[in-house]
Amino acid sequence: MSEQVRFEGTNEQAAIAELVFKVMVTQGAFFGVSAPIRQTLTNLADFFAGQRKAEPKSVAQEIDAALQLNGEIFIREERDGEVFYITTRSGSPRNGPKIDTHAFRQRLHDPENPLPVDDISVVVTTTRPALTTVEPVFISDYWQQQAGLLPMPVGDEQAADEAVTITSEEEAAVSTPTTEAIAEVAEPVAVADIAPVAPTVSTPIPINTVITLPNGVQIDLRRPVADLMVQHGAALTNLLRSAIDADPLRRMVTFGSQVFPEATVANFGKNDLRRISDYLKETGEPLLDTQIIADIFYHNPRQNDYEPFRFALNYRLSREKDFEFVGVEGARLWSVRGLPAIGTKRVKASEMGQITGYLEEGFDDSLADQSVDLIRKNGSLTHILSFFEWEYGILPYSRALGALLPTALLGDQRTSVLRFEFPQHYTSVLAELRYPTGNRGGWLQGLEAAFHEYLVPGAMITIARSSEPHIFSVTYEEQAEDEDRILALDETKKTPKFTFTNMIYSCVVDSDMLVNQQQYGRLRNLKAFPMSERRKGDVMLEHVFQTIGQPVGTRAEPRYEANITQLYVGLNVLRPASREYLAHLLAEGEHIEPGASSDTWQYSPPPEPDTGEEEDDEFDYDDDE
Amino acid sequence: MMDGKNVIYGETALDRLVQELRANGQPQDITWLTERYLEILRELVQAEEQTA
Repeated sequence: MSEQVRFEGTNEQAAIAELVFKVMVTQGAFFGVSAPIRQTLTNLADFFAGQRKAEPKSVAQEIDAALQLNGEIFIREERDGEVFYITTRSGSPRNGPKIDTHAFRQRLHDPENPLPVDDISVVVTTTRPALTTVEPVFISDYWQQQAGLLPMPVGDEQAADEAVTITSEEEAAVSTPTTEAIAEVAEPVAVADIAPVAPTVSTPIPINTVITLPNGVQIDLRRPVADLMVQHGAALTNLLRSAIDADPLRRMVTFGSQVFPEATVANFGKNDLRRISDYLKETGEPLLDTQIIADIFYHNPRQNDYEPFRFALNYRLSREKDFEFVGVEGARLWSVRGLPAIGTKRVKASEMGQITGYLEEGFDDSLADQSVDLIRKNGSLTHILSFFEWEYGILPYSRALGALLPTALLGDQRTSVLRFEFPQHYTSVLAELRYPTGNRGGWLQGLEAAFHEYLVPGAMITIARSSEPHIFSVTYEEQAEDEDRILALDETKKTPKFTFTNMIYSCVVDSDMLVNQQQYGRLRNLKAFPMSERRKGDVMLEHVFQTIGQPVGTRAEPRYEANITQLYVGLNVLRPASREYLAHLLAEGEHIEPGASSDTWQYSPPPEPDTGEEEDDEFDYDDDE
Repeated sequence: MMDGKNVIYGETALDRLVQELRANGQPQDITWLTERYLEILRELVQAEEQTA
């Protein structure tokens, strides 16, 4: 290489320059041809002084003089009183690429927010984990912006330039015009933490202490934390939670409202998970995390690592697809695939979600008689059982019930398992609370056996909280035993049929809602539609009209009249419905119009196409019974 | 030119939060963590104001 380089100066100076060049090229033997090789004058002088047995100071002067004459080959730099010489293997440092361009740094910064390692591992892995877990794939903001999923930040390039000259703390508190709330601060560290060799910013950067929340509210970080928490606590907490969840490095993990560093979360092996699964199946019902820890892992709550271990158990189980969290705040219950289902099998979840959809559509009048505050304050609510609720042991998740029952602890939680005690009978049952999703309503199921055992349709019950967040009680006011013929669904035959049977009950009932033969004898003619049909409230109402309504038309133009109470009770035999939903159906019904009196309605079935067959009178009116 | 000895690794407020959480050794409530995070941010802002 040196053959191509010509050195200037006297013979002695040229020789010195060539020697220095050789030394530096040897030093950078593995560098790129145009990569800068740097050395201090002091080091060079020490090296040659040792060889020549001369005074380093005089050697330094000679080298300095010789190299300055070869300015095309050596670049001289002076920093902090130290002289540096820079050359390249090609001997032409001024013609090479810009010397402050560092290939590694460029790779580190381009793109500005590099693709997280998680993504790469997901893409390139060829091995399958022993235990499959659903791992979220994090896509960095950069790629989301490129894909158009996120808006391009304003002044992004400017911020990127500044990132080289300021530290990340400054970025958190100073840069970014709107400071992108807390999530911005949670960006990976590696990107903007490289300080420059020589600060190039000479003008002071204005300190921006205001962060802007996604809702546009601006918060000045100089204000006391307590004030900020009182005013914006919920929003800030949600932002921090989002930042933690979106952190590609996954430094912290959450379970419910708890947070813990991921690196210190204990792992559970395949064998541990199998033991937990077996234990749950053996017990036959969901178990509390504390019980699992005590019975399987023999951990004592007095141990220092009890809470971290408990968090680890909950967090790890939440990542396993075979386990399902069915607990609430304060009672973390775990279920496993294969446990017996809770509640009736006669109604599918998908059908029930549609049937109770009217609650999500705004026809929930459960708070007409009792306010949310009152329910929460008293910890109890009263409810009159409809036939459908009694028959299937299902209570629609109305706002009143929602005010009493606990909410889901996890964001993606579908169900909670609660225990309902019947203290008057010293029994308890497990019930499953299905939370509403989208336009599908929620409901509570699993009370069928207890309702049939102790209550009748129309019974007035009180549901109350207990000291445990997942345990509730169902009580009723007792009265002297009474016997009546009450509607029941006979499913012993091929086609289920409504019928009236003798029942003895000792609970206080709402006389209008008591579906007995004396008041609602015609309901025995109701058709027990399949559940998939019952979601159609208008069709069910028309059928109820035809069944329970008083015929007021002619054979050619039939017309049925019924009052609100009859319709409400009749409709609630086939499916749950609020009075508000009933009023909506009546108002919107194409063939329904107000009747003779204020609380009656009439339904005129549309004329059926003439098929030439005699219509069978399938209804068996028995008003006289 | 990039000099290796001048490459420093910065520390975000979130890093400090993680360190505190780790040092604490116990799972913490997200509300407590938010308060602590705000305190750290506030300290950083005040420190920056003093140096500016």
